[in-house]
Amino acid sequence: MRSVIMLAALATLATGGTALAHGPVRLKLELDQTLNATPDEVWAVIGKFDDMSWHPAVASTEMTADSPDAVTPDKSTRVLHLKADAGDPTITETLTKWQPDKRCYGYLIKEVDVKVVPVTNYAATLCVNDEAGKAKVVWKGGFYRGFPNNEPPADLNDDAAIKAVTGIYQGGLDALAEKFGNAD
Amino acid sequence: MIRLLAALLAVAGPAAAGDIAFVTSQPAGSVSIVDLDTGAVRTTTPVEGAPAPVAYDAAAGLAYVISAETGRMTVLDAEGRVTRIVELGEGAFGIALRGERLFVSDWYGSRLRCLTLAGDHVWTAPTGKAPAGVALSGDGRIVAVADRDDDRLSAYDAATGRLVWQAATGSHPYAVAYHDGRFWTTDVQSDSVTVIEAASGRVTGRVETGSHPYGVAFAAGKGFVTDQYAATISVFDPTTLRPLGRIEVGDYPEGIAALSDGRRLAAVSWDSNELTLIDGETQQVLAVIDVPDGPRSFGAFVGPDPAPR
Repeated sequence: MRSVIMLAALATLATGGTALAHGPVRLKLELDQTLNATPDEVWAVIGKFDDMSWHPAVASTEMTADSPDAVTPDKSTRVLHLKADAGDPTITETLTKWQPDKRCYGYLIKEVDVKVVPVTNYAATLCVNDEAGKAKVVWKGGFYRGFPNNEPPADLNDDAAIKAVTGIYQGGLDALAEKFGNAD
Repeated sequence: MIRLLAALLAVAGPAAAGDIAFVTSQPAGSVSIVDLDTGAVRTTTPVEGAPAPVAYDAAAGLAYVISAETGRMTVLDAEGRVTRIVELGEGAFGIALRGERLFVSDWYGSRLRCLTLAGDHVWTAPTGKAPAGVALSGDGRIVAVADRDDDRLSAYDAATGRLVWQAATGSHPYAVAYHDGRFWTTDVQSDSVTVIEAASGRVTGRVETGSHPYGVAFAAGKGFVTDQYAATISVFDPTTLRPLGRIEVGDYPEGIAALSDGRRLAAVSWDSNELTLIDGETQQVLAVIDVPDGPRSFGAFVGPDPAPR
C-alpha cells in the first residue's frame, strides 16, 4: 500500500503537480438521487472523506501519511483503490471544502492515470440536501477531457470524459438507492 | 429569477453609468446581455461552439466573442444582434481590444495576432505555450499575453508586434489585467497573482489568493480575484499587496470586471450559473442574477450601455 502512495507522490513531483495542459472547454456534470431516508442518515454513510466503501467501484480508501485528518481542506488527501481484475488502479483526491453543517464536501483529483479516468483538472462536490425531509444526494463535477490538445483520440475526448464521470456518479447513486430506497 | 438587495438602489445613485454585461455561457452556447442596474437579462443570443472569451468595445457598443471550440469570432451589439462573424481558426482564445485593433491569442498555434476590427491581419508574433489572457497597458502601447504553460507573461509593442520583455509568473498564468502601471496575472496552479511593472517587465510582488484564481479586476482602490475552487473573491490592497478579506460567491467564480462607476464589480459563477454584483467599497454582494448554463465571461465583459433606456 505504501508503495502506491510513494509512486503517486513521485509522479506528482515529476509533472510539477497537476500541471497538465488542457483544451479550452471545461465540462460540467451534475447527477442527483432522492432517497427514502433522512439527510442525516445518508450523510452518516457518505459524509466521511476517509471512507468511500459505500461506492461499489472502490475496494479501499487510504489516507496519505501527510494527511492530518480527514477534514482539513487542502491537506487531507485520500487514495482510492479501485476494484480491478489486474493491477491496482488508484485515484488520489484532496479535500477542498469541508462543510458538515451543509452536509457537503468538495475535492479535487490530485493524481489519476487517464487510462483509469480520462479527465484532467477535475474538481467536484458531494452534498446531501434536504428535500422535504428526504435526502437528495447531489454529485457535481467540473473537469477537462484527458487529452490536452486539439484532435483528441476517441478514448480521451469530451464524450469519453463525460461517460467516465457519469459512470462513477451513477454507480454511487444507484448503490445508495439500493441501500436506502429510491424516492425519485 | 432576480435576487436584488435594497442596497443596490442605494449604491446606484445619480453617478451610475447604466452598465451592461456580456455573459458568455459556454455549455448553453449563448451570450446574454445583462442590465446591471435593473438586474434584468435583456436578451440571450445563441452562439455555437462554446463561447467564453469576450471583449466589449463600449465606444462602439459592440462585443467581440470567441467560441473556444471553433475559433469563430461573433460580434454582437447591445441588443444581442449579431453584426459580424469571422472565422479565426481553431485555437483562437483570449481577446482584448483597443481603438481600431483586436489582439487574439492562439492557444494551439502559440502566437498572438493583431487584427483589424473586421478580423484582417495586421501582425502576428510567436508566444509561449498555450497563450491565454490578453491585456493592454493604459496608454495602449504594450500588449501582454499570459503564456500559460510556460509560466510567463510576454509583452509586445502593440503597434508592431515586437517583443518588449518577458517576465516569470507563478504556475499557469491564465488571465492578465492592467492597473496603475502594472500587469497582474492570475496564476491558477500556485494560487497567486504576480505583479509586473508594465514599462520594464520587472516583477514587483505577489499576492496570495484562494484556490485556483481565474480573473482579476480593480475597483474602489482595491484588487479582486475570483477563486474558482474556493468559491470566493479574494480582495487585496494593490499598494501593499496585503489581503483585505474574502467574499463568498457561487461555485466556480470566473470572469470578473469593474463597472464604469469605478466602485462596483460583476463576476460570473460557472457552476452556479449566476452573475454576482459586488460593491467594491463595502465588499458586500448587491445582487445575484441567474444566467444561462456555464457562464465564463473571460475578458472585459462590462461597460456602459450605448443606448440607455
